[in-house]
Amino acid sequence: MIDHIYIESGLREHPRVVEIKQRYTSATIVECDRYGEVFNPKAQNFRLQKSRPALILADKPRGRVQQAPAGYGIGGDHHYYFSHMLNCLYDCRYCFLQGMYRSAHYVLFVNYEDFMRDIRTTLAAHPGEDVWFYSGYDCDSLALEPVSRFCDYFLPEFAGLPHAKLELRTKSTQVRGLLKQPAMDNVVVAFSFTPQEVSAALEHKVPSVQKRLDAMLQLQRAGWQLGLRFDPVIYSDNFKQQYRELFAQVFATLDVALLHSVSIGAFRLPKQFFKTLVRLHPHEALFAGPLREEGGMVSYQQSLGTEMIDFCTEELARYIPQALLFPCDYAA
Amino acid sequence: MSINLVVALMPEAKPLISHFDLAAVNTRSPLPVFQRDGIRLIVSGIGAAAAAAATGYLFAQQQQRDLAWLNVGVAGHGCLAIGEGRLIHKISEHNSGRNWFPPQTLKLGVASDALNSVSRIERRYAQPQFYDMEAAAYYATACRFSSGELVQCFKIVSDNPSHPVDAVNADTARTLIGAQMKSLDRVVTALSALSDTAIKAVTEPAALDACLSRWSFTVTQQNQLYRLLQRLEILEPAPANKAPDLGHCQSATAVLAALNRQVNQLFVQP
Repeated sequence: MIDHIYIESGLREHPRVVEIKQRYTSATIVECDRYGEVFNPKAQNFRLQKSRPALILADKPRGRVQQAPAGYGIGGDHHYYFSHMLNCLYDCRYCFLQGMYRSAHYVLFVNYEDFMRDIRTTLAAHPGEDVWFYSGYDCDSLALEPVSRFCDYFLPEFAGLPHAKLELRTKSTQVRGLLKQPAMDNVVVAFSFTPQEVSAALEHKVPSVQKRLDAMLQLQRAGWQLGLRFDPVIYSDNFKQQYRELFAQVFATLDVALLHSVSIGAFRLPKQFFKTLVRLHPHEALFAGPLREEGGMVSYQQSLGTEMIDFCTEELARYIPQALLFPCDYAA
Repeated sequence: MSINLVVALMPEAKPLISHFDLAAVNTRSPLPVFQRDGIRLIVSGIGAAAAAAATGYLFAQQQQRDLAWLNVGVAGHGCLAIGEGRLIHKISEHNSGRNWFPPQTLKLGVASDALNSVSRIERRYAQPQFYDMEAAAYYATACRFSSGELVQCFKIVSDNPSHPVDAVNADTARTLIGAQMKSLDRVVTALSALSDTAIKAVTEPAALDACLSRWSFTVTQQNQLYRLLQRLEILEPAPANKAPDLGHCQSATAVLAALNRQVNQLFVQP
């Protein structure tokens, strides 16, 4: 899967780097001074590179914990995100990462200890209060777990910080790492869903809805708190039927009483990211759809967006209490 | 197939010209250029300035973005055996200290290595990597016209610490490159296929030229027109997609308004 690994020269003896190299003994190792030399050059095509991304092992020297965007929260007052990885194993047509980065290579920041130190510092700025830390903003939290060992390191660290709430956001079924340890009160494993038909068309390489639900069920039985993320909600001529069926499938599998949260948000992208996505996928039907640009964001035409969210909210109300539902309105 | 080959010397070019059956393009050209069926080869001469000039010259002949580019040549190496061929995954320019990392997206099983572009013939081979005099300038120039995935180098070891560069001659270069033609053919085929993918992604809407020739659009309006026609083609694919009925439109603004209406009518409101 990984044929080339780029490694910052200062990290060649780092224990995580050594371990990953041992995992990919046939990969070609290429040293660079800083990961930006490989990741940031202008002359790169995300779409072409996505067919065969490489792995970049890097150090994140600063900006490790960031304020979460408005509307990202699932309750509580303080929301931050941290990205131990940039980019994702999957290839979702709507993903904003394609608009944000020029490269599709996976960047793994291996200085976990520095991330954790910054998380503790951030937590200390809100004494006695709950603080949310989201890990799946610039990547899928779990998809590359066999390589990153993210959970192996971070979960025991969060176990000692009851006021630090961690959200793992994923479309992956890589839950073995979670299942081998006790469930934690301050960790939510949140799975993103679109209807299977939409997923098959737009979420390339993503496990089927049913496989993800099976993984969720295993976690729920093991006592893990779960989240559902219907974000982005995608329009099609028969979106009502598609989402009705999706919700029925989801809530027939999971025990609602044990759910932590459900969030919902319509497809939306910053204008510049949208332009980049159209350039990368000019013939993608999603981007040719009933969209409008307002205030620097591209989203569904207002009446349609409202109708879709209202419909989904009403449908969800058949299964979950209102208190569990969190709308994601980034444009707000 | 569409690819540009940049080669420093004629003895290196000859096996490629022969293999791909290329013919000289124009005897008055300041640089020798050969081509057939979308494959173009230019003989640049030795050194960074020559490589950059040849790459720019070839682009100017075509004015086509996202073409595939391949620099082929013999080079010194710190440890590899004579005749070994490699794609290049890292190019360092000795004089400036700059590095480039051509993305390795071709699924060929061809090994890759690092390369140091130097301004004088390398005789010390201090590092276990290739040494040449053109790749950095070629790569930096070609990346102005194409994405890095489409700009690659393939080098073949002609000299190393046990076989000094002084023993390399025209016959050696020709023989070494000829011996790697199987790998080179695969690289050329895969790279040009990747380029085709990139170029096809920006196919113009069928009705664009007709609209541009009939009405006068500003640059902004041209962009809007392009995207509206593209959306129509996506949302209403052939055979349902008829040429938009715009005959009644008196101006570019009216055309855009009519197309907008036509696009919006395609959506079934819930």
